Amino acid sequence: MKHLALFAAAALGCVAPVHAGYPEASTSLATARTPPGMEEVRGEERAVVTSAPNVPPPLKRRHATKVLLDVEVKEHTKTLADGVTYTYWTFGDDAPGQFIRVREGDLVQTKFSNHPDNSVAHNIDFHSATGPGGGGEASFVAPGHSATFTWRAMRAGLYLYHCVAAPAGMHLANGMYGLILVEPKEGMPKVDKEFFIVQGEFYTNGAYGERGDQHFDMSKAVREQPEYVVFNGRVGALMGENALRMKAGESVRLYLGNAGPALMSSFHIVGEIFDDVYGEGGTKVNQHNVQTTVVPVGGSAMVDFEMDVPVIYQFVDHSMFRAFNKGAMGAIEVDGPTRPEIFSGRQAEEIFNPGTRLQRVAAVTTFAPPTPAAPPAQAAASSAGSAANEHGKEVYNRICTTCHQPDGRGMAGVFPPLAQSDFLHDSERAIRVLLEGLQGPITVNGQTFNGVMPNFSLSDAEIASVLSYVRTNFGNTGPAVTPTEVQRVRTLLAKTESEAKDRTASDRR
Amino acid sequence: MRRLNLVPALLLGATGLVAEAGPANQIVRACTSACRTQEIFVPAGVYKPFFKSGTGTRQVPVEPLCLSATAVTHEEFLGFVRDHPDWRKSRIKELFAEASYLADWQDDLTPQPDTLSQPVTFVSWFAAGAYCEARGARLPTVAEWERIAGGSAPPNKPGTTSGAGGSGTAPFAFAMGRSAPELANTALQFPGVWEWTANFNSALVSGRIGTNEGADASQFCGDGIRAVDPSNYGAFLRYSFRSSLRANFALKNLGFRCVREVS
Repeated sequence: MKHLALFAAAALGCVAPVHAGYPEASTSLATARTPPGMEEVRGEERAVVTSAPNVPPPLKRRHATKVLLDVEVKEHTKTLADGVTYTYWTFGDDAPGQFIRVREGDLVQTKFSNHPDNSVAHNIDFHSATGPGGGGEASFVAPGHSATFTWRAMRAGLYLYHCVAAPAGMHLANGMYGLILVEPKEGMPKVDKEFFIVQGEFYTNGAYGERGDQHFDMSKAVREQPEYVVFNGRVGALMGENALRMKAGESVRLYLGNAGPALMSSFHIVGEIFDDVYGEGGTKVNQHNVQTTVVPVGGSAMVDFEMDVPVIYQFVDHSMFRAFNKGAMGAIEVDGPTRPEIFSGRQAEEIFNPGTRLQRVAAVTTFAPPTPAAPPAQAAASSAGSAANEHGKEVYNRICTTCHQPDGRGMAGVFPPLAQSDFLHDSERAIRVLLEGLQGPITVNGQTFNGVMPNFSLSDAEIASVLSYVRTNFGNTGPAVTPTEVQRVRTLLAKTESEAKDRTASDRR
Repeated sequence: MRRLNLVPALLLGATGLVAEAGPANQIVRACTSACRTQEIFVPAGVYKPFFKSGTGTRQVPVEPLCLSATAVTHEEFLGFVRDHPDWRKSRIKELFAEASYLADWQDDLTPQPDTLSQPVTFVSWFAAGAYCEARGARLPTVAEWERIAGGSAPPNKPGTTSGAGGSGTAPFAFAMGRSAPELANTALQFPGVWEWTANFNSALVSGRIGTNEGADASQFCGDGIRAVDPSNYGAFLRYSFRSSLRANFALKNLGFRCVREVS
């Protein structure tokens, strides 16, 4: 039967082209009598959809219905990261497309439209549909055309939908994906808050953070080496002002999807444990107390948890370079009273000195006294203007916000503040931190921090811009920093390094 | 199929060429001169199909052609509908073009004045074919079009079209046409629209219907396995686009050009 149906669809698709219009289906699912063993479909209603990261409220319906769903494809230029734009192909306005919520047994009449201004053919494949291509064939249309098809939501679960027109990987990499929840007949267990997050990759011709309009790079896609791995379509979609928000003690469910097209996701919330995991987006809780859950490419997962301790939680793809270097990071801000019985915060700190020599760390933490910068350089820096400030802001938003936060306040006890920071008064020290990274205890505004900041391999211009931005914003009053100044410190460090090597060599002798 | 039976000897006489060069070269020059102004002579060549057949990679010989240097413009199409009232937007038969036919024209004989020299779009396959026929020409086949304009691997920076041809600004404008290397120094132009081909639906009808890699093979995931070069995404975009078409479609970014046979 299945083969027969396939054959019929294929034959129509192939023979029909020279005739006007599409062949009409001889029978309509929607008007057919309820087949044996299937729930009766009563009435009809428009699909309930929401834009990321919001999820439509649970369906209160106790019966199956006919759901009318409109999906429109757009090709348009949008922001991928600060200063970086990309021509997205999207379902609706955004990548990911809207979250669709239907009920098991529903008939979903899908009208799929390809905007006349679009340049290529598109379609939609619902992983929740049972039939040829999940709708890929039935929906495949040229720009300026739409197609309608109906499918029955036979199985409950959380499913990805995406475009599968050739080359399918490119359509996915350009942003054509979203999530659809098929609620089980009895509904999902009630929680206080629900959000959805879809991970996806972007293969830009320029490197991560390279400014301007970026284009799809097929060779990087074939090698499966994306420049960006992001949550909800762009860097920072769920950071800062866009962070997910909830109150301590509220129960939360995240609907997770992974569009890939290449990389499996190891979804993890730093400082939180999932109470229940619906593995691979099925309807059964198959594990409790999970630290990291896999979200397969082309698949999903649902996680339930309760935030007890109020703080900003970061969530990441735990393949950690994707998080820190490619954008796979977001945040959940939890509001509420502190819970010392669950987490104390730092209780004591003392010097630890087992007597070994840690040359490298010492080199960073024992700073040379500040060298006064030449007056002309200072003058040039102060007149550097707003272009440099803009550039500095971009670098800051791309790299620094992850830890130091968008407002520069950092995170108490973990990431030192850059706002009104006495640590930044010494410009040479600040430059050295950016050039070399920083490890070990430091004191900022009277608070001690003992963490690690990596060296981000920034250029002299980038370091000058970002430091100038930080030193002239966030309540700081320091003068700007020039690239020449950065270059001078870089040269100095290189010299110190080679002298240290020489010393080590002579020690050995 | 319409053929222009040109006799090289006559042409040699007519254009005053002398027999100093070798015979092959003479024919090339004769054929070159057989093309009209605004046309480019395309020597015989080979098309390597994008999709493998059962026996692996094939090569399809392509005859020499006279090719329009660029896509047909609004102005040229206006001339055509003046002479052939049946193809005006108010009179065209529904079978031959959908409602969006010449959608950007104000009326039967009024294209947007500022687009006269730009490629005409919103034209159906039937209308494009009729235009070419009226000019003693025809639409190129997929093999001919790909051999001429299928370019090679995508450029490093899509959107920057290198070499001759290619002036579109879409990120993947190169997919809409890049000159074959031997045509790189000609006046061949690709103005950034897709172009009709005579047998645009052939990738579908040559598929093995009735199996899982049949109809959807050229549209969906199955295609990668059959493609000669799966990383040539420009070709994927073209084949995918062509397979979404019906002959009565009139789309905003779909134009055409004609070819004439030389031999």
